[in-house]
Amino acid sequence: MKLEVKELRKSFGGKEILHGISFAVESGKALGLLGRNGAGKTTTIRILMDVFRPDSGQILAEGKPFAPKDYRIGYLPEERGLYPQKKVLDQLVYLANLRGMGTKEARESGKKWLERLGVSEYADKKLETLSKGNQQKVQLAQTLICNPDIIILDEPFSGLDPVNSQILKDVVREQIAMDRLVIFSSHQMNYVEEFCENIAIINHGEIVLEGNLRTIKRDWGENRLTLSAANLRPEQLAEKVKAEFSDIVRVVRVKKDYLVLEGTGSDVKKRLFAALADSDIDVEQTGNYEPSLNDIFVAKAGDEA
Amino acid sequence: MRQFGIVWKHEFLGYVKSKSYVATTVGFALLFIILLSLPSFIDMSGLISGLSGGGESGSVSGESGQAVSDYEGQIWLYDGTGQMDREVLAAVFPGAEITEASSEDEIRNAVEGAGEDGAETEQCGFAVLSPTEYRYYVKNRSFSDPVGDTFSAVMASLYRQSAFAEMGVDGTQAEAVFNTPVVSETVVLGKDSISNYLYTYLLIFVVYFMVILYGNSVAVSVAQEKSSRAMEVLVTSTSSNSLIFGKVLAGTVASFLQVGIIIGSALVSYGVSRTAWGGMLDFVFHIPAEVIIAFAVFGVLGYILYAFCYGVLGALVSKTEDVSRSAGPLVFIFMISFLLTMFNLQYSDGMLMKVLSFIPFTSPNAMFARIAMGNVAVWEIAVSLLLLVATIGVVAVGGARIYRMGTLMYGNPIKLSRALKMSREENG
Repeated sequence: MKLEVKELRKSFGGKEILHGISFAVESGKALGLLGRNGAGKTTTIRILMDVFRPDSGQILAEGKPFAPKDYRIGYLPEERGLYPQKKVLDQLVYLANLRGMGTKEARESGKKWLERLGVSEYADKKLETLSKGNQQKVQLAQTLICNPDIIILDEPFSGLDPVNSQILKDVVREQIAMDRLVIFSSHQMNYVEEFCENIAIINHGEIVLEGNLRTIKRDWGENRLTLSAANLRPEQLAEKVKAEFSDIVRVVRVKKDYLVLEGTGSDVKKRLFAALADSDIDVEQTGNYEPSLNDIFVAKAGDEA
Repeated sequence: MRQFGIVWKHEFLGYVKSKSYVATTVGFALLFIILLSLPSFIDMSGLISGLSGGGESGSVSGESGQAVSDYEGQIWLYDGTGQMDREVLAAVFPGAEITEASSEDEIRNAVEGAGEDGAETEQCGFAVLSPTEYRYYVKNRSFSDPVGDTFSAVMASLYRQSAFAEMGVDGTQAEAVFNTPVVSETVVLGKDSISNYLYTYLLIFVVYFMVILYGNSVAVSVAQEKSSRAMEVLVTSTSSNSLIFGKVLAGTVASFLQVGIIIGSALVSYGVSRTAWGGMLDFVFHIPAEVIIAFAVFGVLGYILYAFCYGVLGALVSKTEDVSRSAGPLVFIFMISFLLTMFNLQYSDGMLMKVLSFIPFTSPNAMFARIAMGNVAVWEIAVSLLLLVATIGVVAVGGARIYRMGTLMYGNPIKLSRALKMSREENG
């Protein structure tokens, strides 16, 4: 299945929050929906789930208008929450019922997921008696109980210890492998890099970057080099590069241990290495620049950080 | 509709499975059953006066047809006319010590100084100024003071006797004629407001408590889903209409089921033991079917109207602690409706009650009171019902929209006006 979000616009109280959001997701390929706090991720997700109606724009599934009711959607909201004073399995069954699953089936599926996530002994306990991590697992069971076609995970890893994170990672991978459509929203870029083939970065209600993660990384690294010196701190090195090599490269970023340089003109490496050999810079390391998703995100969404 | 059913069932079971619900329902039902069935098993005529028709009535007539006072203090008497019959006085106040005073001042001093010497005898005094005029001295007048009334009656009687004597009529005979009791029996063919009064009063109270207690629990349940963030998952799983309608109607059924069981068990057990009670509790438990039906219809609709309002107000806050503040104005409106009806219960055919019985927020109480106590035309009931149902419709639809907006906005309580404005924008 392919889900396309096209030109979504949404205003609240006369203020436009989303200024034309577009992206696409396919089954079996998770999408990382990234953005800073308040960028518009949750609003986009809510429009996708028909909680809000967009002012304009549309969502298509397989080219036809998307009706959330026709699909089973599992949603793990960033603001976690279930009924603290109800028994774990009972509320899982209730929520599965609401999403169209029969009671018997829901009980079996609920038990299966509690088992899979290692919290089956709490099935008849009140939710509030569970530890935070276990409550998160119950929340995940709630997301997956109705065998959703579409899974939306908003910050699924926050608050999980490494062991639980590993369990969750396995589950997410499994779901992607089962050809489920997964939308993954997170600030933790390492997880996004692990799961997502595609990303979309939202900033101030606009998509600032969208596409295949590998392609984006390659494009970002193209014609860029890293450079560090043994005898100079990066800031000093940056000054020197600006003063002496400005016709070959420009300094894009000054990182903690090295510089990111972007070449101007052709044969950049050849010219730069020749110039370096003639200079008094004691080159420690240099090579092709491979940006991390974190770098890309900060560059695209970190305008006023 | 299916989702509404699921929400309804979930909420309903949440109510009826709770320990407090079961305990209250069973407890009160059992209490009524046991209390009302007692006379069938135990002879309680000694405990409750009037059960076997015996017992003493409040006042006993004296020789002259005067009521006898049970006053046991000291009565000072200054008789300026010399016409007071001491024997009659002594007969009317058998327990009192009647002391002659030489002047009005003596009475004043004696009564004023009463209790100062440690004696606990009550003191009062009468200064008779003329055959039809006297002054009553008492230190602290109690809320009900029959001594003065009795003295008045004695004086009036003595005056009549002497006046009759002057006219040549036998005073005692005339007095007997005066005091001939009239035996009456009332056959009420329509409504008996006197006997309807108590159960109408009680039933309005019942609705009052249902709205205050269960209405509030609807608001709390909405606010809880917000504060626990369960709402995040709920709104993406079902429509907000299903949620609010399910909640309100589950609360309605649960509360009326509870009240129905309690009142029903009381009515049935009284019905079974009615002969043993000698019908003496008819004024509470012998409720005509039409009153019960009016109670059910107007009670249910009134409850639903207020419950929707409660649900909406619950959606405007993010913490359960804020519910009571948010619901304050609504409680105020309901209290006014309740008090106006209560104060005007005796004047159920008055203009105010007529007006109140058509205004949707007061009609559940007022129209029910009018049906139970007064004269209402069928068209009036129909119009009132129509208005009430239409208002519920408007509040439900508007409420569901505000609910939808309110449920996803956290933080400080939202003003109703702002929520209305936003819901209009959202729904275009």
